Amino acid sequence: MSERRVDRELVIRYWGMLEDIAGKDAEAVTVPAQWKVRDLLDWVGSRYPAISDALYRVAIDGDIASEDDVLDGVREVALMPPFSGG
Amino acid sequence: MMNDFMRYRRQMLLPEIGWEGQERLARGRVLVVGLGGLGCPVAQYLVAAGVGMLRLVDGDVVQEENLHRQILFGAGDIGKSKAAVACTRLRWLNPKVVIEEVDAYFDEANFEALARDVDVIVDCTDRFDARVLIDHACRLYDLPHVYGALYRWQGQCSVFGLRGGARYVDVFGPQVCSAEVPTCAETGIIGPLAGLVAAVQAGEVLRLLATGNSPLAGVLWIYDLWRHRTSQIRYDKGPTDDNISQVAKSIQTDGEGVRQLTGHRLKELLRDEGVLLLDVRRADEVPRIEGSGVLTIPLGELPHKHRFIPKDKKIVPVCRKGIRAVWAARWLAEAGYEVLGYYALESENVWSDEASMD
Repeated sequence: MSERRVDRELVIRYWGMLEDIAGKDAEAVTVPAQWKVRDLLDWVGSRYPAISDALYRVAIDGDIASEDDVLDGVREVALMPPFSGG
Repeated sequence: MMNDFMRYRRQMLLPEIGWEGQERLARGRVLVVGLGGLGCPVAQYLVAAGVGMLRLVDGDVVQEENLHRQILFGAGDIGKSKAAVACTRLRWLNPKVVIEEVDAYFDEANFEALARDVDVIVDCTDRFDARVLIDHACRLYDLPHVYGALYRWQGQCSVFGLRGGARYVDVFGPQVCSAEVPTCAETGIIGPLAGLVAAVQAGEVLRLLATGNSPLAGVLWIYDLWRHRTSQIRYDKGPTDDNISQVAKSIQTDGEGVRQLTGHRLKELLRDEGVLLLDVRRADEVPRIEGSGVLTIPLGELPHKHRFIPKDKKIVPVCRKGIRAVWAARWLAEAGYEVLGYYALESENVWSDEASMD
């Protein structure tokens, strides 16, 4: 039998103005195990185009991530914009 | 300090503060940028705790819609200078603390004089460009940057740049300088959230002065007051630092970083039609630079608009003091452009007489 990694469920957490764009603070999604952060952001951008234009950083399970990081085993992906108010 | 023992006794009972820590607080020099929802409580706590010197910077006046969260100000202060009112109140709160009033915005003209002799900068501003300038000042003088920021019911706090740690622009990228995020005036803000984030900032300043350490170094702390949810993001082991150091290596440098060009050198370079001067200032900044070899793209718009830059051109980013131009140079080099160096309009006023290149 060929090795086939199963799809994974993770939670996307939208902080700050990204929550206003997405209309929710979090959502659970099931993604292919081989997906990288970049693939997930493409998916987010297709659902909420305004997020593609926003400035934010991605954290996976509490650590700043790059777009090349893989999502296998990840529980939470947070999209964190800088806040401006003071 | 003997005379003040009773005033500070309760915090000196904490073994982490003690007598020595209190003496370090009394020698501490703190710059607070912004006297809004964050700056007011930050200043109150620092003055009450007996820091040595507090320099308060804000060029704004008190407005009625500030009063619900900017708790140093009252109804009778509307229209008065925030810095002046805050200083009066804070001197009453603790006459032993040296309080410097700076009734001006923190900007490229004054940041060096305001930042060069302090131990820490507390970022309580509501403007991204000021936050980036604080980042720059902290790099220049090797200071910790105690960051606080608000959005509706949510707040962020972190200590950037402690002992060489990642800094604000490393984490959010240079385009943060003019990121489009709605302001408090547009989206609303709740007062106690400002107080909560300010209390965390003030706590980190006291801890930095007393002990030299902070658990928020390398960590972005986020709090959602509406849902009572806290989160932390570790950024110091992130890829950004590596990316930036790689980028720095790919740019022509004179050992320290991106090369700053003299006016003479720039004029020589501009005789070559393959050289493009890229003005990364905002559109409202004067004097404008005219000429066929000039393109204007504000720093924050580079990620979206850099495609207008011909790939075969050699680029020289320019701004007023060179701060944004350095970041533009790094960003462009990372995006694959050939960058010759940057130019600061105020370093040598080649255009002081004529705002034109021709």
